[in-house]
Amino acid sequence: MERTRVSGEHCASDNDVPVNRQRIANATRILGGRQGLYSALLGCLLLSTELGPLWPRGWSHGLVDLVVLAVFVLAYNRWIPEYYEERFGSVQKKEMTAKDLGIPLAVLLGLFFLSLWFSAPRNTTLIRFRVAST
Amino acid sequence: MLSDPDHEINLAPCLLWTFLSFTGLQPRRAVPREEQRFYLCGLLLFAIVMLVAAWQPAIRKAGTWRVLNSGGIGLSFIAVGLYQHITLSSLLPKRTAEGDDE
Repeated sequence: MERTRVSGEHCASDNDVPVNRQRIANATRILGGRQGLYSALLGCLLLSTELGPLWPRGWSHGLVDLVVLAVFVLAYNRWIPEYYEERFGSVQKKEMTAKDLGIPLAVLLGLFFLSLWFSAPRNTTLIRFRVAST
Repeated sequence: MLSDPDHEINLAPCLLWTFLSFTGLQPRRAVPREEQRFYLCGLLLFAIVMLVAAWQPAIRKAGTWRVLNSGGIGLSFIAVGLYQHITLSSLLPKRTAEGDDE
């Protein structure tokens, strides 16, 4: 039988486990939501796509993209779930609501369009037309 | 006034960290104070990256600045993910077999 030992707290038996509600709430929030390694993996994928234009282009560029994608798929579907299962045990996932999915998606889309808007050259002809008409 | 005529500065990381900082302040989510501080530090870092480039355009040629600017969103996701993982690992240390914790 295995049991989890809470760091910094010595317990003689399971009945004596001091309950730190803040710690439990924090661990539950992280385990029930987006687990850290998935975010880090997504970050690696985003980083490789963002830094792509800075790399010298060549035949190896497409190969690197393929390798990154294969590693992403493998890690997302196999390595990370297995690691979490082994390290923390099985966790009952929180039911995903439309709000849980919609807000991060809206934020990502908003960030994408905002960065496009800021990076795109301004339509100076339109501005000049407006200035002239006023 | 910020000067960015070539639209090189990427504002998305700043916006992401601002969003994280605001969501971290919501009392309903009960985000610990350390995590709120971490989000504020991220916001501060990317704000510095943005402002330094606006005030000193010469820095835009530096490789470090270009990586931080272009890869800001990816680096932010990696930082948040690793922070959450390290937090979780410290909250729930490696399971030990019965009798090993004496």
